[in-house]
Amino acid sequence: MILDTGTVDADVELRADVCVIGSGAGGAVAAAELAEAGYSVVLVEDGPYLHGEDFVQREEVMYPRLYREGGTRATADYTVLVSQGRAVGGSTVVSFCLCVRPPRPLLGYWSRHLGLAGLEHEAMHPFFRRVEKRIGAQRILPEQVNGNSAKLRQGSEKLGYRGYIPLHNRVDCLLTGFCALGCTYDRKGDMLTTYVPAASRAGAVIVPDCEITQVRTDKGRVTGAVGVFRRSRTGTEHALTVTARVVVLAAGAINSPRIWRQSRLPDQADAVGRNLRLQPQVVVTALYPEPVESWKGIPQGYVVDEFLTMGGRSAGSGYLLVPAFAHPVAAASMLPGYGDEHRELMGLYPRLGAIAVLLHDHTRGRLELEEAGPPAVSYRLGGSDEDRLLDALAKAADISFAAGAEKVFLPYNQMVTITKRGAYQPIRDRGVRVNDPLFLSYQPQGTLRMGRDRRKAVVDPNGEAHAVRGLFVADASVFPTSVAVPAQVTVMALATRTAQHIVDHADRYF
Amino acid sequence: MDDRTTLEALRLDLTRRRLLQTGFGGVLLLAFGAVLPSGCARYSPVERSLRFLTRKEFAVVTQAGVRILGLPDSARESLGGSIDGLLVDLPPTSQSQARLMLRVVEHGTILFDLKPRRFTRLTPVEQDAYLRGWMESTLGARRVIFRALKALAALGYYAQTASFAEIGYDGPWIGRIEATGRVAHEVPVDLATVLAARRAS
Ligand SMILES: Cc1cc2nc3c(=O)[nH]c(=O)nc-3n(C[C@H](O)[C@H](O)[C@H](O)COP(=O)(O)OP(=O)(O)OC[C@H]3O[C@@H](n4cnc5c(N)ncnc54)[C@H](O)[C@@H]3O)c2cc1C
Repeated sequence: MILDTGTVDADVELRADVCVIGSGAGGAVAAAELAEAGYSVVLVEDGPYLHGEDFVQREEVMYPRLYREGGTRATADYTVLVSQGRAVGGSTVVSFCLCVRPPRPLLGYWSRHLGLAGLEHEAMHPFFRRVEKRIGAQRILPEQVNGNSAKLRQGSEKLGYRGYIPLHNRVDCLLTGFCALGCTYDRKGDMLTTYVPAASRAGAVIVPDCEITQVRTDKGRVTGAVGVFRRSRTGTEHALTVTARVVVLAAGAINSPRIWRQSRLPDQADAVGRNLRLQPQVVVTALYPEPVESWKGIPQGYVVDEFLTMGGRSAGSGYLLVPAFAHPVAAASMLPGYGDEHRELMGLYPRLGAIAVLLHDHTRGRLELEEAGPPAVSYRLGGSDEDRLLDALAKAADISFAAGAEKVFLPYNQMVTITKRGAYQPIRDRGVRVNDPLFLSYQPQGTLRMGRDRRKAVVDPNGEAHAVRGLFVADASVFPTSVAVPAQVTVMALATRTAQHIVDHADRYF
Repeated sequence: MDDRTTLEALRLDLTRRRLLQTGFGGVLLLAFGAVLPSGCARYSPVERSLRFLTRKEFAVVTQAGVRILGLPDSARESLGGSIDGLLVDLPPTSQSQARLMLRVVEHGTILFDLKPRRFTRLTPVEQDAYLRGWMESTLGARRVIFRALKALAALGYYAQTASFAEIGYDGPWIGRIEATGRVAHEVPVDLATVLAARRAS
């Protein structure tokens, strides 16, 4: 059942076997799996419970409602805009539904070289299978590939680059293209339509509009969590106390470490908030002779993985190229240029297409965590990542030209236009500097990293805190390196595995 | 939109700590912003009634907005109204940061262009040169402010339905298509029901 927090008129105390913090890709999965295994679960979510026609398909309404910090969370120097969902269902509610498993060699590297036995592809396969089935992941049909994705496909095929039509967790999509503002028509297999209702059906209590501020422990064991209702009948901030023997922290890779720090939990490895990977994206825009109407249809219907290089002895390197587009407000704030040239470009909106470079980053950022206030995110792209990124900008431009683009616009503040294939010197000339180009990150990760060695990692290979019995982390924080691909199914699969571990070792916890 | 979510919209979040991280430029801008005048006696009255912006801020944000987005002067009124509506519910800290930003832009002419006249007193050509200076600046903090201004202007203008046709955007589909097969989302229950159910289990 889902609590109507508008009826809360006093402090609330709940008791359960498990308290899950955050209802996104990790938290919702853990909550459903544990509730279905027969445990009593309380799932607490900071964001609101919205669905159906609450998603009104307007940017000025939905960004503030659905995104953390209204969609303006950024790194400390404003170079990377970090987008995360904030609602029941977490970031999956605003996701583009792309389902990509991590490259096999990467899982091999995690397992063999980082000591994460059990995370190799063969062992993880059943967890991925289970997740993909529950969220309805299936390959989209060739006729569902929208104008913008078709351009990426056409250009890369012409140049002989490897790519594919990916799996998506969407069913009978109506192709309206408003995925990033929440699906009005329930066609996404996001957490809101899959695992959250499953958790509820299995008896879990879902508490929206409540920010967990602290995880409680006693003598090295977790005892529950406390939070504060953001919405109530009285208009005041009442407290929520959940007493539980197991707590699953799944508030995302920025807020989970924040809760960790606010709770003064042990950090023997000095790793909490470190190892931050952002998988930063930059977008190259192209002008085509004919309309492509990129905002319509499935936003990311093709993936080019030619430039992702994987080897079993390292985490690999490189980038994916995926289609990208935005509705007018976001497009106008991100498109380059000033004055008339900017207006002219906006006037060409139906003829614009765009390719995003999704970098498999090696740069390690960190969170500056204070006990009060949101963490400051420090992240400055390192040398080799910068080189790869500049290479990627040229590749994206190349593909756009091969697909028939008349012009390509680089993602700088100023209008930097390329009119001829191969004329990419401006990319090298400008390079990367603070806040120019602007990067986006949809998948922060790695800030409570997983590892066997308690001197180096925060949680063990099952997701349990090295230093606190019964406290698990089941979100993108646990990744030891960048996962190289969009992260949702990896988060879900690892959360399934963590839930399975709790069930298999119930006698340790309950 | 409820208060808390609206106030998060457009959180410019130029907090002290963050601006300082953009380097010396940030320190300079902050110190400068703190000593600037905030009165608005010399600004023309605005036709609509404003909920957040002062006359002075209205003048700065709308003049900058139309220059940055290449809009006609006639767009100022609706742009300003829309931005005013968005800023009114911001939390006090963000509101003061927004005010500081607009003040710095208005008076930065002295610091960056050595001009005795403030931004709103410049000719359109001078305003363009000045704002381009922010966009192309070598100081990270100035580029950040330019981006914030541009995002504010984009939100103020391109969220208006009236702007959709001019860029060939067909807007929301709600009401335009029939959607069957919707999920029956669970209706939330009151606290008493939750507590009773928990006790029973
Ligand atoms: C716009 C967008 C598009 C994306 N598209 C794709 C895609 O197509 N494919 C893909 O694989 N990935 C995609 N991603 C990324 C993917 O959604 C994330 O990697 C994934 O959801 C991360 O899961 P998580 O559990 O770590 O965090 P989230 O899913 O973000 O969930 C964390 C939840 O915790 C809640 N929370 C935070 N703090 C607290 C607190 N103190 N108390 C209680 N609750 C709290 C948050 O509100 C949130 O609901 C996209 C992300 C975005 C933002």
